[in-house]
Amino acid sequence: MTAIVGVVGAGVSGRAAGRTLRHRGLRVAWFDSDRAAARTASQRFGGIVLDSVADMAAVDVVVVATPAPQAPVVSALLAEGVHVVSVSDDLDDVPVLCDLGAAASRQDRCLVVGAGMSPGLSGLLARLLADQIDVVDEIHVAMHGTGGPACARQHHDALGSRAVGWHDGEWFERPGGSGRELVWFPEPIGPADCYRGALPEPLLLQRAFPEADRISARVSARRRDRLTARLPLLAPPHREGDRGAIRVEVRGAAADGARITQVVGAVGRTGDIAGTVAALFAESCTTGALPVGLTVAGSEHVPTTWLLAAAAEAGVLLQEYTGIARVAHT
Amino acid sequence: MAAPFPTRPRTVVEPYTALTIGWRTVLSVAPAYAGGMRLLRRALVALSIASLVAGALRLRGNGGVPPQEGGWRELRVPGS
Repeated sequence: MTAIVGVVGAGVSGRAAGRTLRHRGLRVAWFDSDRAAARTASQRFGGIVLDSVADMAAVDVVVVATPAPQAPVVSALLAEGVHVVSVSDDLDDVPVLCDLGAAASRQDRCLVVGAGMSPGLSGLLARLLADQIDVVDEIHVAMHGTGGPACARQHHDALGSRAVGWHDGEWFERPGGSGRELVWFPEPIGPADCYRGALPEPLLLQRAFPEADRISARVSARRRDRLTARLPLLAPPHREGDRGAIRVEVRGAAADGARITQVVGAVGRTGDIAGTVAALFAESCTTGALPVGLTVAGSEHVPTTWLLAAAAEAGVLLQEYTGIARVAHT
Repeated sequence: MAAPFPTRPRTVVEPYTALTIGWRTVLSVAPAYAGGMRLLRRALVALSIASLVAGALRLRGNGGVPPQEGGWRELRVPGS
């Protein structure tokens, strides 16, 4: 019998998840506190509309695509005995979600935390590269673009908050908006200045790659974004999100000691990528491809190549960088 | 004995009311408050200068040097 996947939050990422799920032949149940949004998503992509989150107890897996904090909803859903996939990218929310892994294990259910674009696809790409390198030393992630309005607010706040990173076996904090680095994203995004921010990526990647010495995450921002980071969001965010990209760089060593740097990326509409990755993780839960308890993208037990291949099939443009960036000397 | 230099006559402002008290009046009759205001003004000036310097530091620079070699191509996922 075809599995039913619930989608809590019919925003940009939630709708993308529902669309991917329907495309892959799964049944979808929608819930949103804005019932009209859930009804619209149901009319566009099929599926039924539920009256409350509690009704999600009847489905097999739930994709939670609501604004942060998601921990209360995820905790309630796990208590109902369903698998949960969370797309949260909030630095305060993600550690609480990870702590719910024990509850998921007790319920014999899967809990996937950070199943969006970054974190999410970033971890999958990092694992793809790490499997090609004998010793992984460093993982650096940069992302550009936002999903829906809630995601845009989240990224705005991230630039004005404390950033975390993993450096030589220790956690460090830096001000958001610091550490400018010019990052070359896949076309058509191209180059963009990226900065540290309150991103949960290092927390999750460190779980998946405990052997890495250095892990960092940056987000692209304009100068105006940095200047206004500690103020409320001045301009209303784009309702449907915008085109985004991700770049993952893994540095390490080959068996003979030679230094290796590998760079891959992806480009597309940010919300679509996040929703697609979440939907594929949800499908993995239904097929039993994921173990019970906490799962983060990039872990060794995650079916990384299947997820990436399915994401590419769903329209996510995966790219690899050819050559090492350096200034040409005349 | 007369003062060797002209002194400013003390201002009698009693009784105070909410309508008659202005900043000049308060400063002239309350040296302690005047000291506080001076400190506040200096703090505001220092904060303004710090804001200008921070803004200048954030806006400076040209964003670095872009890569001159290499490019992106489609990624072939192993086993796909």
